[in-house]
Amino acid sequence: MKRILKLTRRSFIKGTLAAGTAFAIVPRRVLGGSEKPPPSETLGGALIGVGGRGPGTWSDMAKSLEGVGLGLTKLAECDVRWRDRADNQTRYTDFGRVLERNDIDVVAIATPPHWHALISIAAMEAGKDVLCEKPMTRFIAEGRAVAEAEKRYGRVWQVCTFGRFSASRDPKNILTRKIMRSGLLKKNPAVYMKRGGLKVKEWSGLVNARPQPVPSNLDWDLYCGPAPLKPYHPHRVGGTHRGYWDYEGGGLSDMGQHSLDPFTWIYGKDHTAPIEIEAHAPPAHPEACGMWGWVEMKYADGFTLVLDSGEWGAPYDRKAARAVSLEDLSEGDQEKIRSMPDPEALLTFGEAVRQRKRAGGNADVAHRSATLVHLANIAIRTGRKIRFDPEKDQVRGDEEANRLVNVPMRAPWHL
Amino acid sequence: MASKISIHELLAQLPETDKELAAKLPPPTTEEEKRKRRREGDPDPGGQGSKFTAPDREVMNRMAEQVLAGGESSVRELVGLIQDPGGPNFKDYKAEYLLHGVGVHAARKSSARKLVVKGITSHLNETNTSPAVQKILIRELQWISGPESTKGLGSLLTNDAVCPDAVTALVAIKRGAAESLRKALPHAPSQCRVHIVQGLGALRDSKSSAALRELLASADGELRLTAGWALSEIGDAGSADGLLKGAAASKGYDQVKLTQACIRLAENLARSGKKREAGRIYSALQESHRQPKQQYVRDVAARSLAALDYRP
Repeated sequence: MKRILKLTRRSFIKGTLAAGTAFAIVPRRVLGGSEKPPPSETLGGALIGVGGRGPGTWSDMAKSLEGVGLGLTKLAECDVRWRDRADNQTRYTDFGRVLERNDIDVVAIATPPHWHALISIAAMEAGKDVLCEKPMTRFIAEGRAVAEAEKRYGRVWQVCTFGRFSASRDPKNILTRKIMRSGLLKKNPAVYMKRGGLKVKEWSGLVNARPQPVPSNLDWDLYCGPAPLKPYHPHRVGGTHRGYWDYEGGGLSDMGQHSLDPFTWIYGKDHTAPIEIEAHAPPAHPEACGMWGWVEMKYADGFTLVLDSGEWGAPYDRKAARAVSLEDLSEGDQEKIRSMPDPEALLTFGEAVRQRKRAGGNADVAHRSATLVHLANIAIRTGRKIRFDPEKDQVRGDEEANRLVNVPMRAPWHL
Repeated sequence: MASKISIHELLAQLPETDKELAAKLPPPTTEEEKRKRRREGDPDPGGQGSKFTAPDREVMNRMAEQVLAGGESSVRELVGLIQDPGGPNFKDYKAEYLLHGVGVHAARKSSARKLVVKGITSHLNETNTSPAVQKILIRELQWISGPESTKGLGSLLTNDAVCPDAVTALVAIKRGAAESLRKALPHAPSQCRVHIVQGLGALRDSKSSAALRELLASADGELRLTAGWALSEIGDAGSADGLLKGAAASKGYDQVKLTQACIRLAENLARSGKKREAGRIYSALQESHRQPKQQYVRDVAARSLAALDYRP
């Protein structure tokens, strides 16, 4: 039986992330104790963004905390569609009022993506840990800002897509990651293909939509937030918001990070980004996300990532999918790979909160997988081959494309 | 050189929307067809909103070249066809879409880009251009314009209908933008001031520091917080006392944001070699944020002081 090291809620929540503080945790119920954790091990939580994914995000957070013996009580919910029912005690429209509460320790964010970075940063500034829906961000510079805030405030931040966790336990993937991160492959021949499943047509926006009156329960100005204040149309809210550059980036933004996040772990690309991106797509509409065919992205080591929507134009046929294996290395190098230690196990959100360490899907790595989606969309929107600097997070030699890397926000919202 | 073609003829070549195409289909004859159409649904029942599939890029490039071949008058004609989507004369997406396509195509060629910018700017300040259309035009300038538009955009900074859009366009343009924002600030109506202040912060305009410091005492809370952020982005050492005082005296979310402004200011000062000033801010935060729930702020300050290797 493992000993439970019991910490006060104050010490493990209010403290910052610390290295080398590992604990053996066994959920109380396993030992035959009462189901409900005591108040000292129960966190106060808030859900910001209650429609669509909201209940699922909350549930994911609760389960993750339960897995390490921590309870969770929902003390507040916040949604901009609640003008008619906000009481500023348990129901809010203004997330600032939620974040200033001292009894809230953790926040689940399930708003549309144009709010993800700002609310994540504000929550961490207020001393909270965060589980945030994907896509992490609406544009590249936001990801860097979230990662900086995570480090600055020593908070736990985790993106709410978990494929990298199961991927990281597969021996085949572990071997691939070791090969990719070893530096022994001088020219990387691997080609990773993601075909279909990106809901391009499903999450396209509308043209010709005539503005409509704003529903009385919706704070439209707050909904738009950092995005331009556009005339209201119901298609811009509630799931179909995915079809607009102002709030998301189509099906690619919605679905891309699910598969690209584990991809970056497996292929050891969660510390960098492609340097060349090219799209095969028709000219994009300035407001409404639309159709695209494929996007080819090349990394500095030669590795190629291809996203093929299967929904427009001819399929990608420049290269064939190709894995990387030990046979790509000399015998001597193969031995080096075999003797490399396995990567450290990724911490879940709950484990990270408990141990005050970085979560497996922390802001740095999530930023890299979100960047793939954004670079693809930049190439689609500009119709040009994009050259990117992964160290500076900037497009090289293309000012118009670079303006999509860091999109100015509408006041009073800013990074 | 491509021969001149009428803009209306070009617009007619753009594809119909899914809804327009579906309206031309005969009624479904099989159950499967009926189910398929129900599944696909109508994203804008009763309205004309629809998804659409754009033309091939080669088609758009050719159309763009044809517009550009007609010179500034051709661009102006196209701009003149853009209508307010909420207005009675709105027909369809095509003029706005073609203008955007022309701009994206022209962006990489200096003379073509300038031609498009000039054609857009000529309509921007016309009295009969509605705010809705102005916003569309400003959006296009945000995509492709350079310093040549900063004056024209600057003249819109006192117009509360379009000021927010003009500011974001200026911030995207960067070069020459701060001067327009700085000039407008003293005369701007109250609804525009927070946007202009944020623009100055985003551009890190140190020449506006003195004016922004005065706003730390503004009765307008939003303006106060935005000015605090702007000064922290600029890295203005002279605002440290004002920001620290504000952070200590405020409560709730305002305190969170002003504390963040103090921390960001300290980071920027440290980055520019002003360790003593940065250290003073961190030490002050340790003193002013004494409540148990503010331990994380004291931890930020302690870590930062250690990294600075500064002793007060």
